[in-house]
Amino acid sequence: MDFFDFTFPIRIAMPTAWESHIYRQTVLIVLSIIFVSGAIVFFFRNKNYYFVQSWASIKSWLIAAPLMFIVMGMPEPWPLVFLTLLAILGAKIFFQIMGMFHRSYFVLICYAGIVGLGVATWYDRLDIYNFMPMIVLGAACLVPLIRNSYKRMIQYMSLTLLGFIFLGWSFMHLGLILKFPNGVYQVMYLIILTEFCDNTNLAVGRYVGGWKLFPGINPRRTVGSTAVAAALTIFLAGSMRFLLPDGSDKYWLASGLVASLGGFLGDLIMTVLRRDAGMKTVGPFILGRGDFLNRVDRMIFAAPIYYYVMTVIL
Amino acid sequence: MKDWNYDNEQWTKLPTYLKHLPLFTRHIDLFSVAMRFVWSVFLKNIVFKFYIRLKVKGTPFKEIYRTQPKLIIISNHASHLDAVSIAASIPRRFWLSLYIAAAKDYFFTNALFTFFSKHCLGAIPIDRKDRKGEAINLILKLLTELPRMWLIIFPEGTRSKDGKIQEFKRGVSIFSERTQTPLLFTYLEGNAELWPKGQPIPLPGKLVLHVGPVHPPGPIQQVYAAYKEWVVTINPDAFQAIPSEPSNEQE
Repeated sequence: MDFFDFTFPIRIAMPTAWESHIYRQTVLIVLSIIFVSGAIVFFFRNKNYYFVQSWASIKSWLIAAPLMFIVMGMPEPWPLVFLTLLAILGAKIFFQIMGMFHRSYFVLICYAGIVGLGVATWYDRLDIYNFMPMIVLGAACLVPLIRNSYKRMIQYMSLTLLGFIFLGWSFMHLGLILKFPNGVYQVMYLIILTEFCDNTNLAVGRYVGGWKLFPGINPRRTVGSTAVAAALTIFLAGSMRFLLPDGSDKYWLASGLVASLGGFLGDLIMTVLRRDAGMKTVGPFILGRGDFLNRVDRMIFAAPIYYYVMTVIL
Repeated sequence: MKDWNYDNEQWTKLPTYLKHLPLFTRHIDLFSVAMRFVWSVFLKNIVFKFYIRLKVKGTPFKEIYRTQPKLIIISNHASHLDAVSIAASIPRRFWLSLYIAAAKDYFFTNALFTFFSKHCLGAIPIDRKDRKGEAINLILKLLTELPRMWLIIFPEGTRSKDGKIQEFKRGVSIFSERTQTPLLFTYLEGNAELWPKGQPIPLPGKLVLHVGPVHPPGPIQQVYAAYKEWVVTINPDAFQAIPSEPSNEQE
């Protein structure tokens, strides 16, 4: 039986990414970087806090990166389905952090909204995509009536909308980016850049100090470490510009800036939420550092900014 | 405006192997609900319909559920089929109130077993070497605080090697007496033949679950005697034969 032989309408407009030598080359480069970094960090993994964190992060990516490449290399619509499932997983952890995962009505409305975003993306209905937050808010407002209860409903409705905007509407912009020319490459490009930026910031934080940018939120983020991480990310963006459909300077420069600064903002905002909720982590993501939301929080700003920079500004 | 209260103790105060138990939220999480449904379909509609033909005799569970919101279901224990057989005989809509006490050193040993025990069985991990009483406190807390709870527990503590019912351990009575939870007697006939200790997979065949009387909380000797009295009416050979005194009479 052909695994990809479906009866529902599927557009195989482009070959699977694995058929492209660029994709295979990218996979090889990225996995080599992760393995080499892992081999180096392994010997210093217990040296100090920063190496412990870096090693944990590399461990989780040793498992997550091959999985990501396998799925992203599959034909349409599997990469989009995969992103939708990731968004749902992110939303689940958000609701656990906010202590409302057992409020099933709100959780299911958010999940349904995320699935709706996936469907809207698949059918290129940007109007429905951007209208979806209103639908989710409307549905969430009906829950108190269905439950015939008013207790703490402002909190639940607000958090449902916040969770949907961050983990649904924002994150699912990666699905819209998939629709770009070489979309799969661009999604991978953005993920690699944001993850690289975060790990670099963490790694150089001990050695490059300066002002603490937001000591009340995250005392480890300094001006120096953020600037160095951004510079290195922009350098990596330039090195990997072959993944962009247009390799001219403005595109990879914009990508590097968006990945570093947008990712930085997303990370900080999610830290604000975690600290207010009094919750550091829900549980390890595969292995290593933080939960799944720690891995994708940078996308809640980077993905929509990247999308609009590429479509509107450039 | 009032401060928001994030009820996230379920995720902040519990170790990973306990996060599936509704100790703070009083609710089973959505993922576990979905997994339990899938598992119930597989168990009730496939395994115990075609592979093992399960027959339930005695008082219908629907009737018991109406009158007994909290129960400790006890049964003989001779195979890994036992807990799932009892679960399969209970209507699906009662499953979210159903818990199984399971050995932590067996059911929570690796990621796969742990996932299955947490999300499919709703297992409460019992550390058999626990000296601090974590498992006892856990069950007491659940039995006290949950509005509905049916707990499957095997008073023998481990599977019988020969299929004969062994002496009961005290735990069942502790839970029952401290929380004033009645006990439901059940007896599985044919479990030892289908999946005896040491065999890798169960054999296909027939299994009968006898549902007996609801017994009030009491000391373990009393519970054991009442259980024995009931089971002997079904299967006179269910218990270990007590060696009789050698006769001195000359023929």
